[in-house]
Amino acid sequence: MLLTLCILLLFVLVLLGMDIAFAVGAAALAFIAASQFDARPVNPVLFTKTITSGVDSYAMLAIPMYVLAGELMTKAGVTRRLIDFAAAMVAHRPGGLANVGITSNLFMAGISGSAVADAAATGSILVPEMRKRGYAPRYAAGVISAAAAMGPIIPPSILFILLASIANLSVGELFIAGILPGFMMYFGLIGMSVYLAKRYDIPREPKASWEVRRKAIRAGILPLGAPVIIIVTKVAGIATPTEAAAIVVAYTLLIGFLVYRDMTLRALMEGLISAAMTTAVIMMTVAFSQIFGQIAVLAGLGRLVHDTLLAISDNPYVLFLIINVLLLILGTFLDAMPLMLILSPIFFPLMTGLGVDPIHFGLVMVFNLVLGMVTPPIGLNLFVMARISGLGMLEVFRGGLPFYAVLWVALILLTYVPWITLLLPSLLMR
Amino acid sequence: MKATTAFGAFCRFGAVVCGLILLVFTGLVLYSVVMRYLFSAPPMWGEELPKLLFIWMIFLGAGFAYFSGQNIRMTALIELFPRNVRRVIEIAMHLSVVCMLLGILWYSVPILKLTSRSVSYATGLSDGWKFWALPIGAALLLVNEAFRLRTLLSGGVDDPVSLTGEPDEAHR
Repeated sequence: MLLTLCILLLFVLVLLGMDIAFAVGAAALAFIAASQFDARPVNPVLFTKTITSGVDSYAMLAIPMYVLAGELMTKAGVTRRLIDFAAAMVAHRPGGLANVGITSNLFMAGISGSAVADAAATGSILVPEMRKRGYAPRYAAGVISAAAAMGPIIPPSILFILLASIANLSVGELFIAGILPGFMMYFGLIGMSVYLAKRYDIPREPKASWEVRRKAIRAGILPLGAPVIIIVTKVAGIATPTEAAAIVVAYTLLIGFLVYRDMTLRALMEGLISAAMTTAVIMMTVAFSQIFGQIAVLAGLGRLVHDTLLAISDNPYVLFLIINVLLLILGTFLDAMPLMLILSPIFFPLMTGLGVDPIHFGLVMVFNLVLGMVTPPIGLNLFVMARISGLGMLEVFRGGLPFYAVLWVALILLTYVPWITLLLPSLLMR
Repeated sequence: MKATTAFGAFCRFGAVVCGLILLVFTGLVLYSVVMRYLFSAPPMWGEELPKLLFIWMIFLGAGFAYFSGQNIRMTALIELFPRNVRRVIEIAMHLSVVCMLLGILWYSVPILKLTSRSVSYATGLSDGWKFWALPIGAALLLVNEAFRLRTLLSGGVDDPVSLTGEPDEAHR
């Protein structure tokens, strides 16, 4: 009962505009204060200790480094080169610049770990370009918001790193498991773009000559070494994902300073500051959300959810459906990160206890939360694209609907066909 | 005006320190990899020291990031309220954040006392170092709250803007 009130308080505070980290912290503290009058009071020192120990993790150390690598790539002009690369390969196919948006987001997904960063980087270049060429603004913003959803599924991924840290999974295995689902999203989105282009006769670009293609590939291929480093170091057992992140940062500096020569010491400093600040804000939410997760477990929410769900069915497929719907609904109201941190300790024991592979369940969980990013009223991707395009969030949502439909179908496939997730980890790592 | 400039310089200094912390621990992780492969001698502090620096970057960084108006919040609903109702709600919310931060400071004391006595085997440093970052970050956040409350009490609303007068590009 007390916990239900605190969860309600959390939603009210978030909706009223309190910072998400503080809202989670305030709701948790309210629970601890009220529990002092209860038969089983929670020690408030737990509150303070968990904030620090919740981020005292070597795996999480990879997060600022991947954010930094993304920042440095942007500063070195990589986004523009990747877009040119994508344009030379796919702009002449039906779908035109929408294909370019989807493909450049696939590339960005392999470099940065966050959907919001990808949406901002590619959207700010491509949306104005698409508008100029006569694409409907809401279509342009919609397709990029959906394409950016590949970011957290294709390695590296901040959400996977966090999930691995709290659910005791291997970051590397989650990274490898995300590759096939990521490409499934990519081909689904491209398929929808081609279908819409043929149906509504959307213009395409002239085919690039081989000379132009060669130039674009030469300029854009190097940054794609970053995902290769991450995958190869993991599969060959050379480095942990955290160490791979540091290697990627060094590789990015090498490209920026020695190959592209667009990087300056000032740009490096700005990149460092920006990455440190962005990570600090993200990690505050992570730190506070973990307290809430612990409290939810202490208050017996895990047991309650466990018993309630098992009373409905003990078939994992039915439970998958219920959890998917629940996550999709919650994901529309709360940011992906706190939700994942609060709910993982509750759902993981339940599902793995029924024989579901934890990597498979982790992928499904993250995919659900990513869909929450493109669903109003709180969808970070929609928010970013609305700001870039100057449209309302609902307009962006309407423009992206056909592409979100592809993502929903992908979620169903991913949920009920486990091998899509498990094939690569079992081939390469187990 | 002078005070604003000094505060701006302080925030810039803080942000630079956090950026340098990030650079240092990235370098330390790389150094560990190189030492392991080239010299078969990974340093003992290979994991502990970067983690310690990471914790400091988070809590110091959060303080300075909030000064510059970078935080994750949803303002769509609160903007629909009449100005004065919005101000009352925001004042109440900021006061509850102040209570929470004071709670963090208060309950940090027993942890600091307890951990100052133990020493990390890997780094040779007191475990207290790890737990000092949070109260210092909380103190910075309290200063931020004081500025935000002053704006609210003098008739403004809590727009997520920078306190240092810099344009706020990074706001999300």
